[in-house]
Amino acid sequence: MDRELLKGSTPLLLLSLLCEGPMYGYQIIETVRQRTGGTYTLKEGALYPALHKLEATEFISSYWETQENGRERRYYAIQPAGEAFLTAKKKEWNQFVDMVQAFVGPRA
Amino acid sequence: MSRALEAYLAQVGSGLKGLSRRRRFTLIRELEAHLLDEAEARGVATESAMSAMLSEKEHPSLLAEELAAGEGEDANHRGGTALAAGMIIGFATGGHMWFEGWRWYICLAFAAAQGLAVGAGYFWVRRHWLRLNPWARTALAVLITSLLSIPLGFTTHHGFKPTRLLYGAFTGYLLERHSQERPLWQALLEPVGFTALMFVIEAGILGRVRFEWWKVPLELSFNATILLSVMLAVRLRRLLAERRVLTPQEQQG
Repeated sequence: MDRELLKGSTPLLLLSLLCEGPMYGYQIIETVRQRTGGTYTLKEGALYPALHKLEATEFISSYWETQENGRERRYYAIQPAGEAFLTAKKKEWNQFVDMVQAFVGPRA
Repeated sequence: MSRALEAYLAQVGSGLKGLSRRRRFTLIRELEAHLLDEAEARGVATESAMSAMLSEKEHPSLLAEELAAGEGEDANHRGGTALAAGMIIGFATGGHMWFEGWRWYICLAFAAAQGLAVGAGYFWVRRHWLRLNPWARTALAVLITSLLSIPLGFTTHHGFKPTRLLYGAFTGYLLERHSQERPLWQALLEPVGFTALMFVIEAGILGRVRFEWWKVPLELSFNATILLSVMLAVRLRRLLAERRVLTPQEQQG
């Protein structure tokens, strides 16, 4: 897939995932990989700066949780500001898809 | 911990330049947790399997570069937006006092205390209580901004005036409540309610001032100014946050 098409979409993708509930880094990477059938693989070097940026803007928050085996995980959870932003951007995204679809989509 | 993992993390850590020790520790702790999660999911049990898994990863120096890249900008964003939003509140309230006829140095002191201590201070610490429920967040915001507004108490001609702290508490309350969309009627009622409360405390309970009707629009317009500046500050922060989030910086994997 053309990487240029994906640029800038990572924050929206992450917010959409976190809308489903708090997630930790590896879980996010695995969920993305599974849902895209492996066509889009997030690497640690792309994931964490994007998560930290969303946290700096207060669209998400994070917390550490100790597992039963004693290991720790840092979970990320969406905040109301992030939900509001995502709702607005989803609307814009759907308009954009409709517009592009009108030109490059399948013929009726 | 696996020796291979330890070595990998040490290399990443040494590449995290320009970050505070605490921030470096957090990033490495998070990366370690991530890699252990992955190792567990993939059933990595031996040292050689761990080495093989890590060999699939980005080179430690590249990963460190990527992790550190946005850190400075995130910190700048946090500090810059807190300051800008605080200044809006400070200028608005100090400006209102100036129109009321207060001495310029009192107005300036009030603007600085309200803008820098209360406004910027609140925005700076707010992220620490984001996970609490709305009521706890509001209570904490009122408490913290009351403390941050202690300098406001000195912005008078007659020593320390404790009721000045109520303006800081009111600002904190508004800042927290307006961090989410809410009905306009609630927003309009807030300055009215706070104006009434101020008169009850200052004229009724403390007996510091005499209640006179001409003072009501003055007090009400001041509290409405706080409300408007808070709404503007929150809106500005949201706009800057959206711009920051939509600016592509990270490399796609």
